[in-house]
Amino acid sequence: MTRKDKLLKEYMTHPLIQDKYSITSTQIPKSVYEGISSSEPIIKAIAHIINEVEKYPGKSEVEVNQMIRKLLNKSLT
Amino acid sequence: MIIKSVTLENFQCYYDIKSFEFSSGLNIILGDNGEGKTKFFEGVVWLFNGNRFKLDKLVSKKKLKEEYNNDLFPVSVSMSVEINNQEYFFKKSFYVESKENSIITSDFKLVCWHTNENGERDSFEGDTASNLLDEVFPPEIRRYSMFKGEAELNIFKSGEEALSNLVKSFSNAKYYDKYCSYGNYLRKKAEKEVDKDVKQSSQNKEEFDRIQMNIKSKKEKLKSENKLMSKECGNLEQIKEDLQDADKHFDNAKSLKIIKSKISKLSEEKEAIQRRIVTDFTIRLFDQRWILIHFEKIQEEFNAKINAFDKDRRDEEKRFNIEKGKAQRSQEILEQITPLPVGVPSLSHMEEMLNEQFCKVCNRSAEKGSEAYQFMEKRLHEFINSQQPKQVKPKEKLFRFNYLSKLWSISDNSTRQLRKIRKIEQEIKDVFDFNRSMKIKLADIEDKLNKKEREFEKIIAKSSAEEDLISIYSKVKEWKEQESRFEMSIEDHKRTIDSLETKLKKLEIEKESIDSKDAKGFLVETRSILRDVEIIFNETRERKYEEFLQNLEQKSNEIFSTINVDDFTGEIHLTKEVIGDSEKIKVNLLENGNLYENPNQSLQTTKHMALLFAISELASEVSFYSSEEYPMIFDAPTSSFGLRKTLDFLNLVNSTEKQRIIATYEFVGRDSSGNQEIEGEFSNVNRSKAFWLRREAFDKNDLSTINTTITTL
Repeated sequence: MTRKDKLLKEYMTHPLIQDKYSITSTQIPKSVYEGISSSEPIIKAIAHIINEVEKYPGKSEVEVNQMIRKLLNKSLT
Repeated sequence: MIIKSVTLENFQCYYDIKSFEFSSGLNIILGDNGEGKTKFFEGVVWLFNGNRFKLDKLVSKKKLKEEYNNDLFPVSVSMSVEINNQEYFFKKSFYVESKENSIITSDFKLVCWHTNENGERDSFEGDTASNLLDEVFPPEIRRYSMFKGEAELNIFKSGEEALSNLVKSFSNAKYYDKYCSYGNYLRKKAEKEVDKDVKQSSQNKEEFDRIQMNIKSKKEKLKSENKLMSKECGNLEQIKEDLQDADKHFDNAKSLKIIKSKISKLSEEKEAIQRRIVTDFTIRLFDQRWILIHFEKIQEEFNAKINAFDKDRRDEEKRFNIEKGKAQRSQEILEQITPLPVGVPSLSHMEEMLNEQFCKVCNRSAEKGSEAYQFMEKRLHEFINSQQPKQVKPKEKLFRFNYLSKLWSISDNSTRQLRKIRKIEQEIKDVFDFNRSMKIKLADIEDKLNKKEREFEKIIAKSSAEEDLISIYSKVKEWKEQESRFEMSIEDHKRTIDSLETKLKKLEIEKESIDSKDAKGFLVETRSILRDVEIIFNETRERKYEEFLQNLEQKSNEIFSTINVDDFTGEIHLTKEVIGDSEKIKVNLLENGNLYENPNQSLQTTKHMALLFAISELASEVSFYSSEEYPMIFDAPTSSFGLRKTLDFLNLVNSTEKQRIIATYEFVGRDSSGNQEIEGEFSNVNRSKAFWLRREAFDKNDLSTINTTITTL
C-alpha cells in the first residue's frame, strides 16, 4: 500500500464518513485512485487533496483550493 | 545507521591520532572524571554542529607545545558511518600554527567520502558534505540522540514543548499537520465565498453585517483571552516548577547536611582507627625488646658454652691441685721429717732446756755449741718468729679471677627474663593480627567515606551554591503569592472564554440561518463539506498523535520498570494539554493514580531514558519515511544511579541490540596503591565493546602534558 493510500485509509475511518454521510465500508475506496472517481463529494475532495499534496509537495494552498472548489462546485451543482 | 568509528586528532586532550572502533550494540566508554569522556562527546558534537568560533580552544595543548614555532599541524574529528550498506566518512578539520605566543588557526573544512554498495567512491566538500551529514544523521534526530550529562536528558520539562515536538517528529503526526493546514485554508475560503454571496443577496444586510461584526469581535476577544490565558498558564507552570526546584534544593540542602555529618563521623572513625594501628615498631623493637624474639636459642648456646668453660676450669683446677699436693708430699717424703708443731714444747720449757743444756724431749744432754743445742735454739727462734705478725703468703691459685661466676650470674639473670621473652612472639602476632583487622575496618570505612564524598559531589553538582539556596528561600514566599494570583486570574479567563464561546455559538447559529436562506445552495454545501474535511483532517491527526502517545506511554513503562527492576517506580503518565495555540505533553509519575511528588534524581533520569528509548523504538516501527534506526550517544547519563543500577541499566540497553554509546565513570576504581583499575563488577556488564580512557602521567600544573589514551577492553 502506498503512502497516499495509507493516508486515505486513515481519513476514511473517521466516524463522520459513516455517521454523517452514510457511506458504508464497501463504498470506501481502497486507493486514492479509486477515491478520485468516487461519487461522494467528500471522498472525492479528500482523495484529490491527498493526490495533489503527495504528487506535488510544494503545491500552494491557493492552487489546491482552486482545484478543489472547482471540483466540488461542479459535483454539487 | 551505525557509527563505525570516531577518530580525534590533536583534539583537546586527545594528542596525535586516537580512534574508537565501535560495533553495533552497546559500546561503553569508561573513564574517571577528567580522563576525556566529555571531550570525546564534544568532539562528536563539534563534527556535527561546530562553528568557526574559538577553534584555538579545541587544539591539544601538548601538540601545541611540541610544534611551537614549527610547521602547521592538523586538528580534526572524523566519523565513519554505515547506512543502507553504504559507507560515509566525514572529516572536519582545520590547521594550526603556533608562533611567538599566538595561535593561528585556519578555517575548518568538512569533507565526505561516500562508498556505495558497489564499492564506488566519491568525495564531497563544503555545503554538499554538510547536507550529506544532515541526510545521514538528520539534525532533528541528532537532537534527541546525543546527551551530555543527566541534566540534558530533562528535555521534557513541562514548561517546554520539547516532548510535543519530539512526538510530532517521530510519530506521523507531523505528516498529518500539513493536511490540517490545507483543510483550514480551504474551509476559510469556503466561508468567505458564502459570506460574499450572502452579502450580495441578503435582504437583511444590516442584520447580517451586525452579526458578522459581532462574530468577528467575539472571535478576536476569544483569541486575545486564549492568548492571555495561555501566557498566564505558562507563568503558573513556571512558578510551580520554580517552587518544585526550590523544594528540590531544600531537599538537596537537607541531604547535604546529613551526608556532611556522616562524612565527618566516618572521618573521625577513620582517624581513630588510624591512631589505633600500631606503627611504633622501633620503640617496640628496642624498648619492648621485640628484638629478643630469638634470644632463647642464643641463651641456650651461651649456657652450653659456660658449662663447657666451667667444666674445663674445674678439670684444670683439679689437675692443678693434684699436681700441687703431689709436689708438697714429695718434699715431705724427701725430708723424712715429721716436724713437731710450732709451740711444742712451749716457750718456757724451751728456755729451761736451753738453760739446763739438756733436751727433755729426747732426754739427753745438749751442751752449748752442740747440734742438739743449736736445734733447740732454732726451734725457739721459729716459735718466737711464729708469734710475730707476719705477712700471709697468698695461696697459689690456677685462675686469678673467677669470670665464670659472672657469666653464670648473667645467664641466671637472662634465664629469669626468658618467661617474658617467650611471650614476645605471641605479642608480635597479636599486634599484626590487630593491625590487619584494623586495616580491613579502615578500608571499609574509606570505602563508605568515598561513597559519601561522591554523593556529596553529586548533590553539589546538581544544586546551586549555598548562597543561591538562601536567595531561593527568600523568593519562595513571593512565588507562592504569585501562584495564587495566577490561579485566580486563569479562572477569570476561563469564565470569560466560556461566556464568549456561548455568545459566539448563538451568533453563529443566527448567521447559519441567514446563510442557508440567502446563499447559493452549492456554496453552503461546499462549505459544509470543507468544514467536515477540516474536522476529519484535524481529528485524524489528533487520533494518530494520541495513538502514538499511548504506545509511547506503554513502551516507556515497560522500559522504565525493566531499568528499575525490583525498585519502586510508579507509572509514567503522558497527557497532552492544549492551551490556546500551544500544545504540550506533560510527563508525570503516578503512584496508584496519584501524582508522585518529587521523585529522586535516579528515578527522573530513568524516566527520561525510558521515554527516549521508547521514542527511538517506536519511531522506526511507525514512521512513514524510513525504518532506519539511529545510534544514541550519552555522556555520563547515570551519575545518580550508583554501581548496581548502572549495571542493570547497561545490561538492559545491551539487550535492545541497538547501537548506543555510553560514557560513564562507574566501574573505574583504585587499587591499594591508588592506581586506577576496572572493578570486577564490570565483568557482569553485557556489552558489545568497551573502552577505557586514561591520561598518561602528567603534571597537574601543566596542561601541555595531558594526553588521553584509549584502551579497548
